[in-house]
Amino acid sequence: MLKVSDLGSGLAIASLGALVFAQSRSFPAAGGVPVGPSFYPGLIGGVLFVCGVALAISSIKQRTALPVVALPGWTRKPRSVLAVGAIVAAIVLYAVLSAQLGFLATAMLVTTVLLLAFGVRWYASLGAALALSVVLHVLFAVLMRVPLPYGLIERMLP
Amino acid sequence: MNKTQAISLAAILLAGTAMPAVAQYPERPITLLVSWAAGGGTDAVARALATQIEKQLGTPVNVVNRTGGAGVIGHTEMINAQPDGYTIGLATAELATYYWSGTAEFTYEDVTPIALVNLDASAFNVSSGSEWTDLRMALDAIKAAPAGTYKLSGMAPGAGYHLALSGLLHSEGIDPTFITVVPSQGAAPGFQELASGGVDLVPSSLPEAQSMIAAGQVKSLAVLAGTRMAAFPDVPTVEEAIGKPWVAGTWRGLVAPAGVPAEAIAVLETAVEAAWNSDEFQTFMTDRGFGLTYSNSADFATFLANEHKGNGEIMGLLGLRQRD
Amino acid sequence: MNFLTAIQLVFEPTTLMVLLASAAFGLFVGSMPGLSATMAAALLVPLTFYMDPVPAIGAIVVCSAMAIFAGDIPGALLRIPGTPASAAYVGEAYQMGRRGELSKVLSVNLLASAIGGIFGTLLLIFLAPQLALVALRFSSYEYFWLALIGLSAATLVSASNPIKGIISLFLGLLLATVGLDVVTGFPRYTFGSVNLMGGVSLIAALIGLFAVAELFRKATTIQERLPPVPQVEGAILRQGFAVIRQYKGNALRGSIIGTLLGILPGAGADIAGWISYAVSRRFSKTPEKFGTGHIEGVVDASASNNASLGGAYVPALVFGIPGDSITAIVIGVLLIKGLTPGPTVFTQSGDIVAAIFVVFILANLILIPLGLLAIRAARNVLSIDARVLLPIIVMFSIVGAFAVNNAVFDLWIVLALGLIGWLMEENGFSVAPMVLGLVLGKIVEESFVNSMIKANGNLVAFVDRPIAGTLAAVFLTIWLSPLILRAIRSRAKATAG
Repeated sequence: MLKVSDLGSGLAIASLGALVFAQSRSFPAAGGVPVGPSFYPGLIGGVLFVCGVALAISSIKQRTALPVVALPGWTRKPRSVLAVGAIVAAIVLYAVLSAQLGFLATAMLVTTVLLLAFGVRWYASLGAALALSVVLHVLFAVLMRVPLPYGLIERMLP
Repeated sequence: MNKTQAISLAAILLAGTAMPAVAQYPERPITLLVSWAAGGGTDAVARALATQIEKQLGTPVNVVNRTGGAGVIGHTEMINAQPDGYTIGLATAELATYYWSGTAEFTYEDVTPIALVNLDASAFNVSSGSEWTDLRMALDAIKAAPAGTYKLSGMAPGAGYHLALSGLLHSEGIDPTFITVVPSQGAAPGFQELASGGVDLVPSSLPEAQSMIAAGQVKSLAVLAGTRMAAFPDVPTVEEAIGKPWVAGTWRGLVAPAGVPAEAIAVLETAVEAAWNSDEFQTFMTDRGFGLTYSNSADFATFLANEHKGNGEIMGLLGLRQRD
Repeated sequence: MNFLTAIQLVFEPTTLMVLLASAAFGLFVGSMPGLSATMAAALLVPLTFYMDPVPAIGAIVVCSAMAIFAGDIPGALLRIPGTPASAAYVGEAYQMGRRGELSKVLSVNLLASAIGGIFGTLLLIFLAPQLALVALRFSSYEYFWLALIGLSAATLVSASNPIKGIISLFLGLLLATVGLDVVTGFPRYTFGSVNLMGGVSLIAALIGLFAVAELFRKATTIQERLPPVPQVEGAILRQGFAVIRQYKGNALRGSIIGTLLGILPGAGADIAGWISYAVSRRFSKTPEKFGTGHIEGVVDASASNNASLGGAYVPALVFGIPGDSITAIVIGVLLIKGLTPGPTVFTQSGDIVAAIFVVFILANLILIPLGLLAIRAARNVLSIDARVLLPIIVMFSIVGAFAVNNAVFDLWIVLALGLIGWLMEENGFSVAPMVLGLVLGKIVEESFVNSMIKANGNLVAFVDRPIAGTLAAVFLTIWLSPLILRAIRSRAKATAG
């Protein structure tokens, strides 16, 4: 992940704190009650702002000449980038497709994508994806009765 | 894959999922949504009912808990589900409050009522050390004291039991905002506050108070029901206590999203009525002290309309109403 | 209450089968990131419909004890806590595993869990009515101070820069404010999304911050084919025994703190682990070793989270008020079985209550052999090729996160917090205080707001009850004692010089 200097992260946290504080001012007051919904987020925003500024100041005092944002070494290795991207893709694909395709089809697709991106050969990937999807289905849907998304393949099951 | 291929693949996939389902309803498992957590009262009613509906329809009925946001998440899911009859929900009294509180945009008109299955009367519970010995005395004390002297807990402001009590207070000429609500997540933390001396009363159903009554920590001054409850013969009704009939509490009923085919609703209504009348369900509800009330789809619809109107008025009095 | 009848009730073949099956289920659920002990209990609810009361409750008791221990296993192996209760010491355990001390740390987890579990059970059996009465004296004022003491632990669980620790804690508190406000029901930071009205799910956050963030880190080194760390050989249990003997005081202290936190409604195993770890560090002779793979805090916290399980049954059985999220489910199951918790349950259904106690003891005894099997099996996980292991964990994390609330939405939370957690750890912000903030955030706000409402805004009410006043004094001592100690030392130096 990105390397951010303490100056950068301090300023980012301070801005977040200021934003949270400002937004909390727009919350309505609670009638007849001494503290409303804005009090606690306002307090949190205030503390984040102060701590962010303190972090930024201490970073300036140390005079370390780091760049504010730097790309770490792994981003230059294609295999690493692919693996990280595959994890993001796996979660996104599952979230987007599972309601339409059903659990088994989505799980097979997502696991295959992951295994291929991690450098497993395609035939091994397909086999492992099939096995893992079935195991997950049996564990969650059959044994634990978790209502996994229903779709293409589930329709064909008895 | 080129664009045309991609589109046709997507079309095939979608066609596979959107097949008409009414052919012979029900032909696959039904999901029963519950807006509250596993192990709670609504969950128990849903599971007991699901077991019996399963027997009637011959297809599995899976209870799914979609909790959070004071029930609004589960209720929203019930309304936004595919209107194919394969997703139904056990709605609770809160369904008719979200619109007024501004929490959600939907009203009772966005659901298809199937059947009302339960009404639980609220009770007026105070600490066993309380100086109040009957409801009349409590109401007089609340009326005479300055606003904010007395406090109640056991729910979020505007939840079923709070509205039930507020209605009673209003009918007695007491401004219901005189009693401050200390919010809590359910009856149990409310009783904790009651026992530790933090609040003066907890409106809840009698079964919820049973353990604390048995432990000598809590006494119940009246139940907002038409008749005394078999399991609690010592607790008088409001009519017996102050000479005025008053019935209020919370309810549970099966609903489906708006737009479900009428045939599916008819099948469900018949199955639910038979399930409700089964010995197993009747025994289960009586043993646990749940109130047994049944209304069919049409009556439940009228009931919901009345609830919607009544809640709007009481929430207006409480200052909880966010829209006209 | 007749323990002989109770033992007969438990040692029926069918009941024993149910208990053994729930034990295996608990070990599985606990060691899977995303499946917590509470969820295991919830998953058992439909099955308990068809059981007698003793196997029904026994299944939940056994399964939760196993799950809380098993949550330590993926923590030590992969730096992914299996349940929220293991989150406090996951960094410590993982570093020991990297040094080849996997058997040692896991056997300490196992033995301390059994000790804590039995201690909690004994207090439950012998002092339940008395302790429950004390717990009833806790109102929102007492909870407020308790929650602040809990938050103070954040400075002790984050090893590095204190400012960054506080920032991380407050980011967690901020996340906890998402959702409907407790007093007015006003939606805060929900951006118009109904799903966010329920707040950020703790389990989804945990999977994101620990599991997915760790998967990202491991993915960046995927092509390096790192060989598995060579492990210290030898009898597993013996390694643990030596540690427990050395730190027996810690095991006892963790057990006491865990049981007491379990008894208090609203605080359970999740919080017990954090507090005990922090207390251990605060009073350690070698606090500088904490955060470098030091076993001491692990002893305290492992005993503590299992001890809290028994404690939680105290108010649940005596008053029907759940001590944690698991007993909230247990009360529901008891009611379905026609058993209403309350003092009368001890007389009217004394045999069943005694049988539940027997199951508790039994659960903590069979924890040791079954736990050993689990540890042996788990050690093999590290020999699986990372290119296959990581995708499997990704899939379990996704399905686990979905299964908690049956919500696709939670996957977006997992992804977002996975990226945020990775970014934070990469830049010296420990995510541990953030999780603590998320765990305690709602209690802090609710207890404060409720207290203000009850006292009509009068702050004196926060300290003028005996327990509240004492807790306030403890809180102030925690923050002021380092300053006072420093002042005394400098004066002593001045007089000596």
